[in-house]
Amino acid sequence: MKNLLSAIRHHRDIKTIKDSALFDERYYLAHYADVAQSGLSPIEHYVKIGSDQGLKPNAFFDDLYYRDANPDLRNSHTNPLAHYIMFGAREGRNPSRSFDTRYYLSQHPDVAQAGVNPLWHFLTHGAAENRETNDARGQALSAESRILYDELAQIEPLLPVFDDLEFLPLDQVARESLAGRAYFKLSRLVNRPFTHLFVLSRLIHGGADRLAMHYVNLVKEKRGAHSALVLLADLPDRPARHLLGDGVQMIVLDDVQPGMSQEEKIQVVARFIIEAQPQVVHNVNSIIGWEVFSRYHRQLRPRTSLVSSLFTCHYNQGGRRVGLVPQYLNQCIDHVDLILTDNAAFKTDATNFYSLEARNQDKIVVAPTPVADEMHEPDKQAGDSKRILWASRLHYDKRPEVLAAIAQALPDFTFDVYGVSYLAASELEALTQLSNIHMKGSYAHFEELPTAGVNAYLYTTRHDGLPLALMEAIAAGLPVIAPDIGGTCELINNETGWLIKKDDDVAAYVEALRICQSNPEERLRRARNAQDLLKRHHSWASFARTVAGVAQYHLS
Amino acid sequence: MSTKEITVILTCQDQGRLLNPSIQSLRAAIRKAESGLGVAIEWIIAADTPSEQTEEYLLYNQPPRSRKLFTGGGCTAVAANQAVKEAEGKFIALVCGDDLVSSNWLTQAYTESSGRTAGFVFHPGLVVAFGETRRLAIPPDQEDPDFSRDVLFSRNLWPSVSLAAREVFLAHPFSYEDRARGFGHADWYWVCDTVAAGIVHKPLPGTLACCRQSKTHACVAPEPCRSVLMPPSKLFPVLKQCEV
Repeated sequence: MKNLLSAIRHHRDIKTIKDSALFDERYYLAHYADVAQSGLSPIEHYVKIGSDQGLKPNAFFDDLYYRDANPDLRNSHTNPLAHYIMFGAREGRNPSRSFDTRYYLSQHPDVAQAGVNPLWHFLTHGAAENRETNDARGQALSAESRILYDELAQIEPLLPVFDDLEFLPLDQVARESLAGRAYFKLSRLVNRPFTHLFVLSRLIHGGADRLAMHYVNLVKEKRGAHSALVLLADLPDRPARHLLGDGVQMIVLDDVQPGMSQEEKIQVVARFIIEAQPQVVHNVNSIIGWEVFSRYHRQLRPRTSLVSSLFTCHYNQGGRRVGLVPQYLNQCIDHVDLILTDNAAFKTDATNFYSLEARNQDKIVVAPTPVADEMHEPDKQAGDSKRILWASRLHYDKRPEVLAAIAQALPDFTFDVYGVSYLAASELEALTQLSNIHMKGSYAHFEELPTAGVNAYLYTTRHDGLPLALMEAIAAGLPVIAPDIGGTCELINNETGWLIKKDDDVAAYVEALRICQSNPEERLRRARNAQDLLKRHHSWASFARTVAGVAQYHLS
Repeated sequence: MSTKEITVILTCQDQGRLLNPSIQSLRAAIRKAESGLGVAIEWIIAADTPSEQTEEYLLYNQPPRSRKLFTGGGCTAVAANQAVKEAEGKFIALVCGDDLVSSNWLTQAYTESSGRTAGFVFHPGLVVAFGETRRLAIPPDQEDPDFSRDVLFSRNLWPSVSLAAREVFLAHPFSYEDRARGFGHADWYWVCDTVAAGIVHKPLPGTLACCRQSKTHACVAPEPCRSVLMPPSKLFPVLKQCEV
């Protein structure tokens, strides 16, 4: 019976509060991280659990204060906010120390006339209009203050007239700081000293993040797991968390404090670096990281070495350079210590496009991505197979129209296509309507793709650095047919695969696929040559040697 | 054994004749405190790398019974710290050369301070910013149940006009600004340093200060400069790096 009554009461309070729009769900989730895992909706959590624990439904309603200030409610089961909505506001009760209901209504007659809840008005309109919530100004501008102030105005005539002080903007100090709250929580999470801070946008299975994990593992190998700290600064996504080495601490800023703006994150990360003083901050694709470098390099260097990874320049459909390279490389290269890339083509392009001085060219270091030392023997049974593997993001950049044209020109071949689609429905349809294209959906790792019976790996693209997928295909024993874009030619040539000179030359792709399929010996020779090249240039040992040899990376 | 109860330190640099209102306001406050409280007050005008105009002004207008202290550190923190070292008073009242204080400021602040332990810093209860921008600020009370030190991450909350026991200033000297490296916000830093040490900042209702706003001086600015940061502070500790 007691439970039933309680359930009815909760149901009624939830409805009252919901209808009032006085429950700030964003505020509640941002301040009380456990709520998301409670299995209750935020408003249910507040009514059933949070209110009794003193959790606040918005920045200006304080349940504990309301109960204390209103003794008639102390032994009641009524939810304080529901009471304020139904009775308290009309009775002139205050929702917290900093909001005076009677004052607000008396100072803002439009609110009183409208008959709306004064706290609701403040939260939805009044705060943005800088309306004051209590008589702090009136108390400060007392008759005694006028006398004291007028004495000073005799000395300094530039002081405003006392009566005008009533109209000056009042600097209302915020009662809390989300960034400050985040910072203190973050600093408490770090439980041991570290030397290398990795600032990542997120941790997904993309090439950049996988390469970042190689750097993390290198720090772990050279200086111990405790020396590396990974901070996901921009987004909370971390499907590739398993790539993180054992013992390496990772902190997700959005988990530490949900609801922060980009500016708040920048301030938190900057202060964290200033205070922790790591030897190296290595930024991989994080806009937060770039903004910190851009604004605060003077404060961070030389104590901390500022390192960024960049891989290639992206282009939009109009052919303009977009993304992190045009946004940050030119303005930041004078102020960072090191730019790490995985392909020499990027260094050449950046040097030429931005006319980099020798000292800045020297800051760009090419460290080829390490791939698994274990190579799979090419599948000899697939020598004359007509099954082709295409695996990448299904995106405009990856030239899906070229893939479709190749498939049309080779109706006797089949194409297994893997990857998450970012294509418009019409673009996707151009692929799916072809009977020899088999859409296989997304994949997390290249290793999970079936390669038995596959004749070759086909790669089409418009812009790129040196895609990890090419290396993974070679390691899997597949011959690669790819366009001469970005750093591809550092890996693929006519001894190690088939390099297509023009990225939209469908006939050249078709010819290469036919040769590969009709010459099993040549297919085998090139696949093995590619694996030899991979072993020489993309081994863990050569990667570790290259990076450890860079003084700014502080591994020795 | 010191015979002074309070040392008033007026810090300045390039204010020149603009020091006049500040000095006049302090003279009134000192007069009222001496006569009302019967205490002895020392007055140091602490100028760091003063401009010619400031030197000239002080040459002809130095207040009676004050003494000048010139330093060459490049920022007023150097002069303030030196003045604190040399001060004889049990309490220090710090005022910037851009600020005016109400005539009751010293009396009220000393009365509050002398009745408490050393762990408090008192500020005026109302700040009127004038000059390039005009606004009011009512500094918060750290003992207010709603106060959150988290806010100090984002901005300074109290003006530099302050009165506290001398040992507070000795234990927490002002940091030297290093503008070339982008480190500034000396007042904010000092507040954080003291809060980290458990010292409580309180406003004194009924007292006021007027702060001249200029490009180089912004009293309790609501928005800190984007490219300038506070130096590492004890309020924001993180485990430090491994030794190289």
